[in-house]
Amino acid sequence: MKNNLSIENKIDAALSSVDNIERATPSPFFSAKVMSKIRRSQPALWERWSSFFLRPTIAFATICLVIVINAFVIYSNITGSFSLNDQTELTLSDEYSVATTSLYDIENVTP
Amino acid sequence: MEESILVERLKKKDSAAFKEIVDTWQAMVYNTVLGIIQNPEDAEDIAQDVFVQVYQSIENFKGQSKFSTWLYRIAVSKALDHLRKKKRKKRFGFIQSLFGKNDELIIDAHDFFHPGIILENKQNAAVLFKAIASLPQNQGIAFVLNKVEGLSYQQIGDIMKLSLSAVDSLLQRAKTNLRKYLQNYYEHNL
Repeated sequence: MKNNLSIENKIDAALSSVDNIERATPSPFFSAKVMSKIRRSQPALWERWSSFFLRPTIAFATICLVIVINAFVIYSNITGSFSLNDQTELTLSDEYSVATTSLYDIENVTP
Repeated sequence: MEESILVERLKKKDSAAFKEIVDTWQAMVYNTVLGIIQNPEDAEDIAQDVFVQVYQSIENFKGQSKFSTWLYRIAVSKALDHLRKKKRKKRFGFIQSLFGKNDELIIDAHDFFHPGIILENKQNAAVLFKAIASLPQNQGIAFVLNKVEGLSYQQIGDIMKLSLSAVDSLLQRAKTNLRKYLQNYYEHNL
């Protein structure tokens, strides 16, 4: 009985031990340490760039842009190559009279 | 300076405003984290991380709650993250010990003496903090916020996003569980 009373007293004492607790304070250079942590945690320029380009929307938009540019270049090469070939052919035939080549011309070569 | 002005200045990355915020709320954050994790060195490190997060994510603070409430939420969440990591380490340490590689004790076995408690209550408070550590997570947080940080039920409700009656019931259950733990403790240690 006495023991139970003693336990009850100890429980009450433990529960009330934090009643007038004072706030604990950190070390004196706390804010300086925080500032130093912030400086260390700031990403380098290339990290900021890479994280920007790794965003799903930016990455998707970049891929789309690359595909469009590629398609445009391929298309313009295909259409442009015909006209360039035609042009070259015309120039050559004008300059060397390719159009008038005949068996007679080959046999009678003038120096 | 007024809270809202400080926050606006911090959003513009004003370092003087940030320093003022740290100076004003460092004890509050440190004391809360210390009450939850019960280790002064780790508590200081986590309290620093809380302010780093405040600096980096101040844009997310919309002013729907008080700035101190937002700060408490970050502090509690960081402290809980730390405890989870510690638990994982403890599990990993147990597995290591099974294979005979047990270099260090990961969980603190020593008593925790809160620096804000008067000398004559130190021993009783150390037992109480052991009991707090054994509580379910929500009960432990509510008890620390109420008894160690001295917050009202309303403030605790705002931080934990609970109604007043829910906070009241949480604290009642916490006290009942603490009594059970202490009863058992003193039955074996008196």
